[in-house]
Amino acid sequence: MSLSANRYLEDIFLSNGKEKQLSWLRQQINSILSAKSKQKLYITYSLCANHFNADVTFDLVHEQQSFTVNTTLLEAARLYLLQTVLIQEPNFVKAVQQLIQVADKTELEAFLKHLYLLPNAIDYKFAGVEALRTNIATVFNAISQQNPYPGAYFNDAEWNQMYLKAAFMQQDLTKILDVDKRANKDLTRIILDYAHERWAAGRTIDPLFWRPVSKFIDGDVLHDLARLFSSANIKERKAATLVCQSATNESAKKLLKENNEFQEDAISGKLTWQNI
Amino acid sequence: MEEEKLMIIDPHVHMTSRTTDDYEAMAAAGVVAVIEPSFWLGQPRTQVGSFQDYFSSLVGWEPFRASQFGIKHYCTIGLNSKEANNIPLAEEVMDLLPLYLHKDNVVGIGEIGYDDQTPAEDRFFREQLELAKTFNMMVQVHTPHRDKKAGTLKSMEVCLEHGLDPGMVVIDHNNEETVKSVLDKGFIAAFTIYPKTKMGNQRMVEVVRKFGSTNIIVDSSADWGVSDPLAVPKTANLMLQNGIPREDVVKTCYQNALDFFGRSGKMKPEHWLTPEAIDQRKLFNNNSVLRGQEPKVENNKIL
Repeated sequence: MSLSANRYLEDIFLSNGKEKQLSWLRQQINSILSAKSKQKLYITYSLCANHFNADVTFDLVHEQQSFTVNTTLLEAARLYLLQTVLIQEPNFVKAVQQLIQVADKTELEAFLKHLYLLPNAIDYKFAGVEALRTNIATVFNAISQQNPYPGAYFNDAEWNQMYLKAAFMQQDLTKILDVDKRANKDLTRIILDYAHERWAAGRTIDPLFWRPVSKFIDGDVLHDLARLFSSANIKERKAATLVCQSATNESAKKLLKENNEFQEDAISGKLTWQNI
Repeated sequence: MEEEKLMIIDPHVHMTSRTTDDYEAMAAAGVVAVIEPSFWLGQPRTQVGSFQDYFSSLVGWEPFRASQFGIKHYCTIGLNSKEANNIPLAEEVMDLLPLYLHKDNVVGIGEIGYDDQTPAEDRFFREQLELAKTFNMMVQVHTPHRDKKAGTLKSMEVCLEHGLDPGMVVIDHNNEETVKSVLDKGFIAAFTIYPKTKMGNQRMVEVVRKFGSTNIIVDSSADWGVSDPLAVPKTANLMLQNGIPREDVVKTCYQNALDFFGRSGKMKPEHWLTPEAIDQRKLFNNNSVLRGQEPKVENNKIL
């Protein structure tokens, strides 16, 4: 996180006619930093609600990462506050962790959405991983969807837990970032076990769920891919095509040749995991 | 024709200490909304984390629990006078308070004030009055049980000294001895109806007869001690039986509390006039208020 991102937020406040509010916020930040006061930080965090609208939204575009996050002016003001304070005084990290601890549902969603944008974002990993344990879909989605944080900071076990739970909660798997980057052997085993359980119970599986297995294909995976290729569900045949298309395994390539219904679409880029 | 049932607000009741039977009885008696001031829990807290979880419960679990019985729950957040005497802990609590003040159901700072009127109590009362000014919030003041009259007068003097608008401050636990000076100075006077001590409800009838209904509020302060969560509806009925005009009963047992705490912008009559229907199948963080009973589910109807 850099000060240029900070200027980006400043521009957003100015283009929304918030000159006065921004100068109030800057004054508050100076006073927080000179007093090194946790209470002043909390007062300012709370008071932001009196100065910035929670009903004006915009798309916050991250400078390097290819992700945007829908943000309210109030959330942006609080993000700006925390970013600026943490850059100047990293010792506020504990205060910010406590702030996240007492967040209500709406605030927690905002924190999780913007977690990646906080300086030393790894310091908030506990909150990120804790959000996987919730049964509140909006909170779970705030960390798992359109969010680069899990891809950057979660270990394999945490990432796998998120991916499996998203499938289990029947959330939109296309919104999870870094699926290919974070694919791992253990996840492939988890996917197979889950699929077999569902099939045994006569239930279906989201075809998108298969995406991470490409690089970890062995006999068991091939067996399941063959089953997908012979499925009556066109989406399952497409999923098997995409898995084999990005695989390096020779048997997978051979399987794709034998089941080439969508191979051309996959090669040309007409068929992707996003439009399956 | 039977007159329409009174709607009641109990603006001072510690629901955390009460049972679901109480919630059911209160709803049946016409209570539509409650305000739960932060207080001590009998056992002194020794860690700031205990306060944090208590405050979080007042803005999280307890409003959910109340909603399961058709009652709208608000709270006031503050460091109580008793625990203000543990200075290192009180300092940590003071740091924490601002984080709660903007939450959806927080309608003021309270209950704060004096218990033994010690220097530590004085310090944290004043600091919290400053916080109220910063946030432009209402204040709910607890007045001491011992040396009440002097403590009440001092509470008001300190509020004025800090430049608070008396119309933004409710002075609680009044009696016949304190009410006049509170009203004369422009503060709101609340009366706690206890079954045996302080104000009984017959005395309350006489207070309203004598002082009228302007700026007077009735509450129960029911908590973990011997107290009555139905004190407000019972007093309302007693007033009606004793010939107090219905208009004055509505003001002291509903409207004045709404007008006062409604200034927060967070407490609105539509919360209970057009409520979400009770649905006990709902969960809060995966917890239910039910223990194997059939959930009560009602249609969304205007009461």
